[in-house]
Amino acid sequence: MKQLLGITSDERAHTLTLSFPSRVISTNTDTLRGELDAFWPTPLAQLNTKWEKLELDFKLTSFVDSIGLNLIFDIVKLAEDRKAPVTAILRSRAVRLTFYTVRLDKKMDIKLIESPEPEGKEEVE
Amino acid sequence: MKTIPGSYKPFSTPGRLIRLSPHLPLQPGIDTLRAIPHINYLKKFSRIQWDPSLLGLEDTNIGATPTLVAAPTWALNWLQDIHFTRSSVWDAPLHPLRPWTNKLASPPAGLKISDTFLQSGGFINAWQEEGAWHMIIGQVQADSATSVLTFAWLQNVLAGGKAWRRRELGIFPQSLQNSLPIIYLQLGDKNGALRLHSLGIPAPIILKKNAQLENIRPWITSTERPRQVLMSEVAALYWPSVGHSSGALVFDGTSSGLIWHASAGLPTAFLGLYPSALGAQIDKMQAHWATWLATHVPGLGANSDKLTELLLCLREAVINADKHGCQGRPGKRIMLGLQYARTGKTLQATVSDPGTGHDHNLRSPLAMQHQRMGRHLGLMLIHGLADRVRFLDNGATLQFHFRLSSSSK
Repeated sequence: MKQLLGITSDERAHTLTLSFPSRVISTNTDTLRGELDAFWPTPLAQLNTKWEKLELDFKLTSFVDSIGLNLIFDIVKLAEDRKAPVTAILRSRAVRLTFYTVRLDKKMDIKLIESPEPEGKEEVE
Repeated sequence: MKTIPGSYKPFSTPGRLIRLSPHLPLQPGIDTLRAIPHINYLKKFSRIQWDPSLLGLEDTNIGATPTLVAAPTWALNWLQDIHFTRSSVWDAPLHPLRPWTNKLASPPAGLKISDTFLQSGGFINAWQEEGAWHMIIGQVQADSATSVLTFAWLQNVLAGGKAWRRRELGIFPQSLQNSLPIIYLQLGDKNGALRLHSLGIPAPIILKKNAQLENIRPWITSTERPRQVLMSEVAALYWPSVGHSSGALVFDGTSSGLIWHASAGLPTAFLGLYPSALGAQIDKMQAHWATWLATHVPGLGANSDKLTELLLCLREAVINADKHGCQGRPGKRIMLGLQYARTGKTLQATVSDPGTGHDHNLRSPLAMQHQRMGRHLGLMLIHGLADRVRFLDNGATLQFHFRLSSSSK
């Protein structure tokens, strides 16, 4: 099954990037959590245990529900525990409004890229 | 399985006929079922046979206006292998809707039968046909009071919530008091005897003809207006303002539940009835709402941001109804109504569950603490995105409005 969550690490920039799928919702957050949990013990994670910044890539994301927000809050909490700043990159104004509505803007820097949404593929779960 | 010779040939092939009510057993030897107008429909279900525990029962009549009720599997999936032995000893509490307390047999867990209903001459037969459950409900005297009780009981059974039943009966307009917007409708005028009818059948049952609504199923037996149906008498839990307008109300059966939508001539409205324990079904439901909204609400198809906000609120409301109102357990149902008002360009959404309500104070210290931790954000989202939100029925019904004339926030 195709990985839903993209995880990349930039050692030089000490940045860990999590790339989210088109939807972060109640029916896929368990999978996303599982993929994140599976990542931590991996060599890639160990190589960059000193990531100092967390980037959340929501460029493909067009819909986030409250269960998805739970996951995002938990991820942000991980970064807060490491005192790592969090940046979220979005393309969807609706997602941005969702984040602002639950005051995620207080916990991370939200950047909206004003460009046409790419033709994203719907992940098959 | 033994079959009763002669009278029950249509039911001689394998299956199971399970009788829920022992009060009026069928009469062996008398072909009462063949006298029922909908027998042709029953004949399609060839895989039915008698349960041997029903044999040897005393005679009685079925009733003047038996009614076919077909329910989708999800609504009756907990009615399994229910056997009753007939007993002439009837421990009947005077208060209706108390649990049945027949001394010789115990009802299955969760099944409550109205004694008033049973004593008034009602009976219910249910059977399983290739995995789907079907029921026949009949009455000796099909007066309005009994009909109300019949379907109040049925509604209670299906909803699993007495509070919901009482609430919904209580808020119905007088003219609609005998309507049951839960799968089964009562059609007929508000003063006379009412006939019962099923919308569990995946085919249109009401069509527009000669500028009137007419039923097209042979088992509708309204004596005063054999075919005409008044729109005001059709399920209108969310359309109380609908008058004598014409149009077509079609059934759109899906595996996710029952959905009705009104076509041209009626207010743009959508009524969905979904089984609890949604699971991954919520995604299919959301896709359906998206299609319907984009198609039927002017301007929404082109405004993806506003559509996303709406879908998010609907999703959150329905998930909450399932999780809290239905405790995530199967056997109950959630209602969703959407109504678009062209004047004001407002979309109203109503989500109702059979629960007892909840403390919906977003400003309580506990609620705010949860929100800061990123928990229980569903209501927070709805409040933040919708233009107006209100709770009814102590929180068991959530209603919110979106003004669609402005652009996204």
